[in-house]
Amino acid sequence: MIRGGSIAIVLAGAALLGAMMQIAPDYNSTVQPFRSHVAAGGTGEARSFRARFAGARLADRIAFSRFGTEFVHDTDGVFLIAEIEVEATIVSQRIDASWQGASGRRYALSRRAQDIPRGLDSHWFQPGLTGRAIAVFELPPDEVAGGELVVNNSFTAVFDSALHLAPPEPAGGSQSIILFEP
Amino acid sequence: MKHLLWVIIAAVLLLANVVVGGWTEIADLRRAREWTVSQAGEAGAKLRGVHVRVDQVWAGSAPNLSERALVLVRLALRGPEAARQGWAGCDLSLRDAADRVWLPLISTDSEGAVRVLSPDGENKGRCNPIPYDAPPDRQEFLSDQLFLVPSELLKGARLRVSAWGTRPEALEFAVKPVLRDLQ
Repeated sequence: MIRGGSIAIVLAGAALLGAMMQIAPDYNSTVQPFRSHVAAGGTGEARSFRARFAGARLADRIAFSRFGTEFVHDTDGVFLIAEIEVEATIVSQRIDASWQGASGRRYALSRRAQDIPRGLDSHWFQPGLTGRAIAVFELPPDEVAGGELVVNNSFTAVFDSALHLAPPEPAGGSQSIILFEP
Repeated sequence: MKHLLWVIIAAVLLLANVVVGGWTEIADLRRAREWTVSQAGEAGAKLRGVHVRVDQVWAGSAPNLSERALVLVRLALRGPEAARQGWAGCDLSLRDAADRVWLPLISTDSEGAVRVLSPDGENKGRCNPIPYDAPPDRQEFLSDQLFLVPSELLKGARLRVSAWGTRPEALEFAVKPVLRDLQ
């Protein structure tokens, strides 16, 4: 009788442990930044910066000049060009951005648009000064509508804040080409 | 009695683990923070064997962007090479009364801006305490750092200087920029 009780306790413990292992969040999800949702056109306040989604355009191709060479990129999807206004509030900093599509998938900045004039990936934002930068994403067309721009501190977003900015207006028709000029 | 011995050994090992891990974390934190800040005058001050002086500060605004200003800080370092080794990773920042922090600009555009702001048209390069062409130990050598700040900061900014080997100690200087016309 006593042996049966001991076995039951061990089995119950194992079941409890297994259940805990199943529902325990992984490390990556426990250290996510704290999210704030910002309505279209509004300015969001994060721990160390404030940001506004100022404009969005769609294009089938993008063109820019880098180190004296002209580049033209096209895509099987669509380029989303997001204009962002950011002001650092504590210390000079960089901002990282991603696009969360309607499906929930996250899209990083397009590496094919690196070093465009006023590009977000090379822009430092200063306290007391509002800076305007451009973020370029390459997306499947059905991920544009219903999506949102996610901006956070570039160096470490762990337990920091992230702003989910709704687009200022539904991105309309796609332009055939957008040229980025200095 | 035998069990008590194991408990004591486990407790000692746990404590040792906490001390060793904690000490490493605290040492890393001290190298990253400026907790002990000494105020320095125009003549400069010595920290960890290296004399630091603000040689000149110039500032300028574009007429159509008068709310923002570029500030160029020319810093002078002097000291024996052994002491200057501790100044590797020399960091400068500008601060205001609210303790907001502006870091130097690092971009391809800042090179040209430094040459425009400095009256001699030269760029001395970023603060590097152990350059390959260092002058003799008793001579100063210069470096240039460019900042983009709100114009209101020109009324009363403070410059803070520290390095890997000095932190948590740092030096702080009052900054009085010479205004330059950029038209």
